[in-house]
Amino acid sequence: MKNRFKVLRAERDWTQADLAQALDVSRQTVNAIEKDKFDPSLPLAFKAARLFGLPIEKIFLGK
Amino acid sequence: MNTSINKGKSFEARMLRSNFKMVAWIFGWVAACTLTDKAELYGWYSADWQRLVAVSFSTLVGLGMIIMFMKFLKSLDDLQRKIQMDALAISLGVTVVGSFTYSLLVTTGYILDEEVSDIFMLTVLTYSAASVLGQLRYR
Repeated sequence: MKNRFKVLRAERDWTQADLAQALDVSRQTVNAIEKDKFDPSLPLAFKAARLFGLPIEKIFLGK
Repeated sequence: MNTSINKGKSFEARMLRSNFKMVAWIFGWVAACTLTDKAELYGWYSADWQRLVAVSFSTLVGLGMIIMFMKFLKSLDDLQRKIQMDALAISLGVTVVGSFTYSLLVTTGYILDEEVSDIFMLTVLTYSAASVLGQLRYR
């Protein structure tokens, strides 16, 4: 699944480590999501949506 | 960065602590099993009840290790849990197929000195290798 993690993070001038800490996951996880290597679970997706202040469908895009 | 969902201790720090606890339980279990085994070898038991206590203690430590491993899996984040679950699935598959193949090799006479620990080592090595490969895959 495609996502806009990298763009949204860059817009906020956050590092991967910042985002990882805010989401309470490892930096490796943020990196894997950004590279579309790994799809997060629904709870993590909701957490990201809350953090970015956007609906989930604006962050995660179907292929 | 200030967010409402930011928790105090960093994820990496908690993972390190969790990993350390897991390794401590594994070493504890291995030590308990080794001690129980060596006590028999060196004749440290003077009564049957001592053997029973030693075996029971090893088993209890083993059960504690299993509970700790389940807690460890729960404490992981999505990606780490996936890596560990994939590694578990691979090691389970290899152990099942490997143990049957091993059994056939014993039956057909290709292995003369069979040891249960061979299968255990196969499980440990497969799980370790699959974990490392998983970490490399998602680096």
